[in-house]
Amino acid sequence: MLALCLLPATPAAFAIDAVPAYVPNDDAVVLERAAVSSPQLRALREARSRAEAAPKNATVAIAYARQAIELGRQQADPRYYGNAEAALAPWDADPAPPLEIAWLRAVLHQQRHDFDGARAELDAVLKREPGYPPALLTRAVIHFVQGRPHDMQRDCAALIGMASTVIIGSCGAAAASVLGHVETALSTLAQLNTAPDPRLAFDQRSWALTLEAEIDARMERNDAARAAFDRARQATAAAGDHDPYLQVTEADFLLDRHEPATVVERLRDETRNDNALLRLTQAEAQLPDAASQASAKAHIDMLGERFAATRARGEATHGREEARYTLALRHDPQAAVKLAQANWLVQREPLDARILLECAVAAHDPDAAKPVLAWMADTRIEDPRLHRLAAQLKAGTP
Amino acid sequence: MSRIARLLCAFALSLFASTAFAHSSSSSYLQLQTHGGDIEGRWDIALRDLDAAIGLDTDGNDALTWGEVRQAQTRIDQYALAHLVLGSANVRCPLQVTALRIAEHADGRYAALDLAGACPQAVKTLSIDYSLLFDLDRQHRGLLTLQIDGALFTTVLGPQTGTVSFGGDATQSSWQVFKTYFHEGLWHVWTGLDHMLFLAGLFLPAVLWRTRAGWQVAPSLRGAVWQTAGIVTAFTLAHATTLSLAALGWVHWPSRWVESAVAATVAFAGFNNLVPMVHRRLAAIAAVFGLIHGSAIASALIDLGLPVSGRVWALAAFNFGVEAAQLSLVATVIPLTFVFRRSVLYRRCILLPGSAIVTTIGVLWFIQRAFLVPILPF
Repeated sequence: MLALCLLPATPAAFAIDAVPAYVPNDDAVVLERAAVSSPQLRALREARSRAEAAPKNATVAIAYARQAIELGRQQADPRYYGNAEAALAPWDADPAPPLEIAWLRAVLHQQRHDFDGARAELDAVLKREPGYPPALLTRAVIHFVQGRPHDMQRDCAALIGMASTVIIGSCGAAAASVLGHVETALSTLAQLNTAPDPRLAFDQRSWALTLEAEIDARMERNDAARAAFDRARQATAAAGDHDPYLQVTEADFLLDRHEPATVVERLRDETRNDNALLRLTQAEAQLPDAASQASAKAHIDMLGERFAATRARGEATHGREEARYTLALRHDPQAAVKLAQANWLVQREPLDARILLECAVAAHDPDAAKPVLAWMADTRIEDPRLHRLAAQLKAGTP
Repeated sequence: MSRIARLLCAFALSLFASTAFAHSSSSSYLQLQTHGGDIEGRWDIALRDLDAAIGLDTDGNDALTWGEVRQAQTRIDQYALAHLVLGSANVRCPLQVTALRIAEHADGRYAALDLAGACPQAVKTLSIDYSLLFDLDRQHRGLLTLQIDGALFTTVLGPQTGTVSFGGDATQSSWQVFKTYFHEGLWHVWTGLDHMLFLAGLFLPAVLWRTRAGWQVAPSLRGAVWQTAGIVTAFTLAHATTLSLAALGWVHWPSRWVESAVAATVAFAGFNNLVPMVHRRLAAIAAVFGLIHGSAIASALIDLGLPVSGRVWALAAFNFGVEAAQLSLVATVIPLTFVFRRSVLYRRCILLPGSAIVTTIGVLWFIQRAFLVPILPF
């Protein structure tokens, strides 16, 4: 009771945290800009009306869902995945819908980071049609995300003869890169990337291009990484595509190389994308000038609100980013290590290992890193940074 | 083969881009309050969601202006109200939008619709059927905060939620909140070793203290208990202040310095029994130290999370729990030590060594926390 007296006892104390509402004073004030051009949105709307006109028609529903998913990938925007889910909603109650719909449902589960749900869906599909290539590939990717490279290798091998060389090569290389066969992975990817089949569509190649740069960056082969990122970026631009994942991966490389100015230049306009905003903010925080510092401060608050909004929905899709944010920008290693640990339960890519080790080092909590160290021993991953961090933890140096 | 290849193509990247979730998902914020039969509230819906649902960008230039939003006001109102049905006692409660403004959230601008409605009778339970945007975006969620005559409810409304009802036993949610946070406060003190050691250091001289003239015993149990309770209450008031300030997010105490300061108070409390520094005005000292301990507990409370609404109530409950735990310690320790206060055994084997141990632990903790050097396993 006394505590209540000490606090301003305003009715607002019981009111919900309201964001203030206002009336703009000018009709011409622009409130929102579309992130996506009208033609793309129009095409999506048309696909949507076709799907709505024929609700139980699998073909139009699949076409709409695929368009939405592609737009979602390009924009790194979950609303489009929500559109795809709505497109497939008529089959929700059906445990054995057309194979492609079941597979797309799995892809959407995966996008929500419901990896177990996705695997269940894919296992069911592969039971109905063993060797269904899209399901094998998606499952391979999920194995990778969840830190099971041996299982990934198995699914990649099962794709032989059923997918293009570049896809199978990329799949195998991704698994090999985490299993301690980095040289094999890189030489496969180098072959695929330096002499690409000109008939191949860009989206077949993009995985291999990004993967090569990622692996080079992880192995700290900086010149090779730079060249690989340039190649990937140019190929993406030449294809008229937009790849937020590549952008953000390159930003991580540039941050590690201590080039924050380039990161700011590249990501300045990408603030709607939470992953990009995180890297942008990290870069701004490293620049000494007052404008960057002020911008970093504002962005730190913005990121905090975005993470809170995700939590308010009861979701935990940003675990890795939130751990990084809490460590690097909020300077709270104790909280960060908890977030990184929770993230490790859901996904186990090298980046997830890295953030957990970094948090464990900063928080002087070697026990927290035990699961990662066990995983590193099991996969025999070659990764100089991870091994350095592990050594730091063992030595107990701050 | 080529069909399968095409199937695989566009999805290769989306498949392995596990962090593809970069933008925010679609959420709307619905706040409702009932007083008697009247309903009022506000509903914030993202402008881009409204544009996707009903089309706001009439000139098709990929930019939404305030003018375009104003022109679409009637359609926005109709669309929103068509997807929110409120009812009480099986009767629908008609709802209107009384104003349309703009609100700026972290992920963009929202239309802020002021809502007003009336149910035929006073609302005991409110049923909500929320269906906004689900036909377009299955990942859309309505974040509801509802207050029925002072009882607070929050929930996430999704496509699977259907019609939900709130209320009934309106006092229940406040009582649940109270019980939970009271328990947390209680538990936090009982399991907080540094807190307990500090209090123990503080209580011990209540029955037997050292002055320059020698050892003095407390003349009466009631006096000892009363004095100790006074110290503890001063401590609680002070730490309730800093705890509340920090837990509500109004102040942020850097944890390293706070934890080190707590360790210092533990050392002081122990040392004070060995080398008498203060015996008078222990309540004032306790108050100062309480300010420090409060900031330390705040991080635990922040970890636990205060409920979205009713934070003050939860905070009060937590503080009550803390005080209850402390008073329980007083009630146990003081009578026991009072009985033995005259015995030399108590002085030699419990008070002095105990205080020495408390002091040592406090000093070691201080070094550990201030310089981030792991020494003690606890």
